[in-house]
Amino acid sequence: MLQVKGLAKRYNNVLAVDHISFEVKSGEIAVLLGPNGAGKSTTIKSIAGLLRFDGEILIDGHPCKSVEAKKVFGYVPETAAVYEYLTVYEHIEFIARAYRLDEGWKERAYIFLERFDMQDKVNKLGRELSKGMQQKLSICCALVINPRMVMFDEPMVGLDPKAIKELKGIFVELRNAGCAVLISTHIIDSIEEVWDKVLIMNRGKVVLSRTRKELEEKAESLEDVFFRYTEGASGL
Amino acid sequence: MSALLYVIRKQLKNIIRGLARKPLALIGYIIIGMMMVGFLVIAIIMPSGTVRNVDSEIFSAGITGLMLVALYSGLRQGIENGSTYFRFADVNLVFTSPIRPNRVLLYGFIKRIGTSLFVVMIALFQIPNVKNNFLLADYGIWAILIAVLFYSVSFPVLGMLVYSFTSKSRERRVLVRRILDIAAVLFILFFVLTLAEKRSFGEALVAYLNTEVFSYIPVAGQISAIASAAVYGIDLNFFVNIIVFVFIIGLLITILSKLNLDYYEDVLSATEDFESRIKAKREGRDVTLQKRKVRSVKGGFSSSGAKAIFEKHMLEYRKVSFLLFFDKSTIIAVIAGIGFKFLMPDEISSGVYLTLFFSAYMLFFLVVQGKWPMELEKPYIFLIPESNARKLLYTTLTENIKNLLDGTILFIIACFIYDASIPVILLCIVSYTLYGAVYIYGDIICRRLFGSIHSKTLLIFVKLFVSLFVVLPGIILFIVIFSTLRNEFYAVLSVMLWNLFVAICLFLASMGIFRNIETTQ
Repeated sequence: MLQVKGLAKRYNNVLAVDHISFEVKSGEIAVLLGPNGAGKSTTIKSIAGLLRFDGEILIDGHPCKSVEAKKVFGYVPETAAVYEYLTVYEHIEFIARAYRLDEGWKERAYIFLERFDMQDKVNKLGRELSKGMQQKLSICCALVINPRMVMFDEPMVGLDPKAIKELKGIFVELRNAGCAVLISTHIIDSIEEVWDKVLIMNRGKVVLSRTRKELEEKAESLEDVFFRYTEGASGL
Repeated sequence: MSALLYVIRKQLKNIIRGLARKPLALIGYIIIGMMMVGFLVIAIIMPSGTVRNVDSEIFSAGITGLMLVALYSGLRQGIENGSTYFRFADVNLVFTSPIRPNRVLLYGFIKRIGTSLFVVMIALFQIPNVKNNFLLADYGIWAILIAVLFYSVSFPVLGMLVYSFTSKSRERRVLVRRILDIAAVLFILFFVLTLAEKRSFGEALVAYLNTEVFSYIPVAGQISAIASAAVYGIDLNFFVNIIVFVFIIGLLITILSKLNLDYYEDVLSATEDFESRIKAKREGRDVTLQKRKVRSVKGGFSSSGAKAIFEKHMLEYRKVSFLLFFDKSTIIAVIAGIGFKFLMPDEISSGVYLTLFFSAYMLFFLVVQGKWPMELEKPYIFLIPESNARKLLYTTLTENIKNLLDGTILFIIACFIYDASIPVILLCIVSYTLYGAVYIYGDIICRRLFGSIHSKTLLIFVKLFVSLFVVLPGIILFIVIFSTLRNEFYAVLSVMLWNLFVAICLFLASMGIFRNIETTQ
């Protein structure tokens, strides 16, 4: 569903992402880990179509910047930014219009809003929401489009324990529904129960790409490999 | 596109609804709105050229000069940072949606026209000044307002275009920088030639900036010609320039949207910068502070208690200021104060006290952008185990010293220009500093009383009214004493004593600011 082929991104003289390639299949939860400055955010922004890059990024077989790719792609950014003067409901209605969603979007929206305890906040303006609430709204906007590929950048930051639990449940539901999920995070514990594939980045490169099964066979934990590949010698 | 229009429509509706729910804010906005309408009416009906009738060529030269400086700095800034019509919410929700980038650009353009109307309204405040000094043609103010609107709408396009070209490689950045520098050198060179011919700086500058060649510079030339119609009259040339301008901007937008569909990255940096500026403005911080170069300085703290706050401020000043308290605001204060003397006819600006009052007015806007309110965003100031009076004194001490030094520089220069007596100049310096103190402690009172007000812009208006209200008796006292005794010294002394009294009262009333953080929100 998501194919990243030879992605490279240079800022002036700094090679932030160094020709990386990976894939996230339908019905798979991939987690992108890495220390600060590893190139995760640049990779995420490139996939979201916000940056120019060398290489190829395909979503559902279409270039990530194409309208066809964007139609099936949901994105939860690291910093939730909402329209100050749109209500929660209006944000979702805007998304429904922008993505030309079918009639069922309202039903889906209310289900997500209820799961994140936002049902009584539908008429609140963006400016009246706390950071956690803005993050919940951002998640609802990404999910209401019924994405076939969804990307979360530090999705747990600012969420209350109930919302975190709910979100983890949603990750699993998305996987079961055949959606490809890519999660970028620093908090390894937060995704320990749900991930299928780990991609560890360091100094602009993917230094490790393993499935859960592969790690379990070697009896290694996510935390162990993270520190080994980000502190020690790098290489696949 | 309907989704994007939905966002614009709904936001407008919610802003109006939100105001209806907050009567105090609504009243504030109605007053501001009435003032705007009042200014528009005054701008239209007041006769022009009554105070003085400055040559129309000076007007057009001034406008051309402004446009050329704006074009040069806009393009230079565009190389580094680009420009943006967008907010972070647009980046996160619109850029990632399946809406075509050229439609997104059009949406940004429509939004920009909306915000540009606000810029046009601000320009309205300057129309009476223009009318006082220049004889405007029929419908001349509309020419100025159209020029301001066109300027505000078009310059971000130039910024985006230059960034999208230069961001591709270092070589391109160097190339564009060199082209701009060569253009600037040529500009100066040809001016020097004109100067050699005319032998008078003023005459040469006016003649040079009125050279026809500048009217052919895309965008800047047309805006300058449109604005100049204010004094030369609205004729065929005015409409031709509007058509040429619209054509050029249309062409530039087409280039931006058709040839460079991948412009999202080009606006990311400028959007981040824009967001941090908005945040700083809302928090009452100096928006340029984060951009300044920070020097490494030697020496740390030697005092303890509340004095440490003062030392911290001094340390910060030493890191960011060129010469301790001497910075951009000093230059603004001096230029505004002294410039006032030269802008006003002699019979109006005959006494140094008028520079004092005008500088005091300008000082308000410098004080509301001061650095000390940044302390209120962090918890440390509230936690320091010292009395509120000492904390307030030392927190605001650097600002008061800065005002004293700015006032000293300003009035020493004014002393020579007005040929005023030294005792009067000394009183002016102290009065100027005390005006600063009144604004600082008045600001705190306003934060305590109206801190939760709807909008920070409205809060500035409230502060302006409160400040005017408390300093007005001093001005009335001045008028009474000056008109009865005809003595400048006693008249300024009365202002100084009144300001001292008010500053002490406000200081005592505002001490509670550090009692809890809530009052600052």
